[in-house]
Amino acid sequence: MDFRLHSAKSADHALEIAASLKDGWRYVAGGTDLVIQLRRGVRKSDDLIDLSSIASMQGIKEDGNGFELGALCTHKDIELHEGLSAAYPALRAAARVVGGHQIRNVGTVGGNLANASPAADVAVALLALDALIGAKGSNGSREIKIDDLFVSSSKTTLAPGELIEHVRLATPVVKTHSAFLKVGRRKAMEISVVSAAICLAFGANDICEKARIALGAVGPRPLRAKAAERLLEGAEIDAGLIARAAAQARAECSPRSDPRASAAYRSKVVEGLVMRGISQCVGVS
Amino acid sequence: MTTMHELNLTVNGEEWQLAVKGAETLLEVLRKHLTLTGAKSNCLEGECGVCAVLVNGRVVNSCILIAAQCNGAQITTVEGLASGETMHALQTAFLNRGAVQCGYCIPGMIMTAAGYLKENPAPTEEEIREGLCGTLCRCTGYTKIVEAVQEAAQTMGAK
Repeated sequence: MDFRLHSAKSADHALEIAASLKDGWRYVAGGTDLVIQLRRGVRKSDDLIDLSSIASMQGIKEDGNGFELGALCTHKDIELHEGLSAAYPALRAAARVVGGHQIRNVGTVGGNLANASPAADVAVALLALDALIGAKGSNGSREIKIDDLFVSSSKTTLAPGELIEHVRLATPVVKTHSAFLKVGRRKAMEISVVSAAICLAFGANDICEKARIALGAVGPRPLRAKAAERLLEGAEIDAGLIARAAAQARAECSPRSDPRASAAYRSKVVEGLVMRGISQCVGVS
Repeated sequence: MTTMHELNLTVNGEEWQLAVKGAETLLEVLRKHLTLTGAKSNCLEGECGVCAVLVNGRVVNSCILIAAQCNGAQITTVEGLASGETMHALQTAFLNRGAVQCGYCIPGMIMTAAGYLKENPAPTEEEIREGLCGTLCRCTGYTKIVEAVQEAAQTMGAK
């Protein structure tokens, strides 16, 4: 493993460095995925641009509109932030099943998104929470709806050189409940076989006004089960509807078999997790 | 590719000014530059945790952490856990419980526990097991390790 490391002082400085380098450079923050890929030789890079000391991209800010997570905030920062955990339990639940504590203390939310693994737990939770991704590139800043960020495994709609600066989450409306569930081959330190994040907002008379169902590791990118969401929206959720929505979510994805699990098993797990996730949300409403 | 980076570290209370390559990991700096070999060099992929050290009080896998990213950081390795001749409560508890088989994972295990107990000073057994999940004992001697961490948590809490 060998590379030159370029330390960026700000997002603009990172963009400047990127513009000055030949192709093949990479941004690095926590490095918990990238360093391993470089060491294994599955990825080669002569130049890494280190984002980790950019002050404006650290920490979690809360204001009247919601939360702004700096791209460099770690999984542990998410797990330990009380306001964020209270607003969106699904996000905390996802952050705390990533790797062990050593990984969660270093791996960042920006890296989790930019790495674009279809099995990324925090990315799946953020997809259910309608996160907005603040990105900066040579053409300036923009916000990307998270559903428009992912393309396929390790591919995003970020332009070459564009970096993630922050992730924004709106303050949840009063009766919002979220859940994150994951099945792996063992309890900890495991890539998800299937993950599911559910976020439901309820109006008067317990009618579900907004439903989000996000699924991990069942396609080339984190997916939304949008037809299942539509079944829930506008309805009062009962056991029959939960079962129908879970079956619909299963029908909406076509997982592949890999050494971790077969496609058939994953499909069954999707149905089970969605059923349990919705039930959890309804149970506390 | 020999651009060197200035790296200022405080390791176990001692200040160091080093010149490191961009691709050097914190583990390499600790073991090769500072000859602190308590943190072990094993999987080198952040899977096994035997390289665990504290960076600014938080436990990390030093084998996949780029050293130059640690400029200005406070590092604690297993060598720096004791206060002079007085062992840390975790070290005493590991000895009391005989929580060692081959011993290879123990520095990482102790540092992982040290980091976790800062976050959760009074954990349940289940929480200790989760807290240690990123560090592997291939002798599978977990029972005594978990007991030792419980004992240490009690000792530290009683102070």
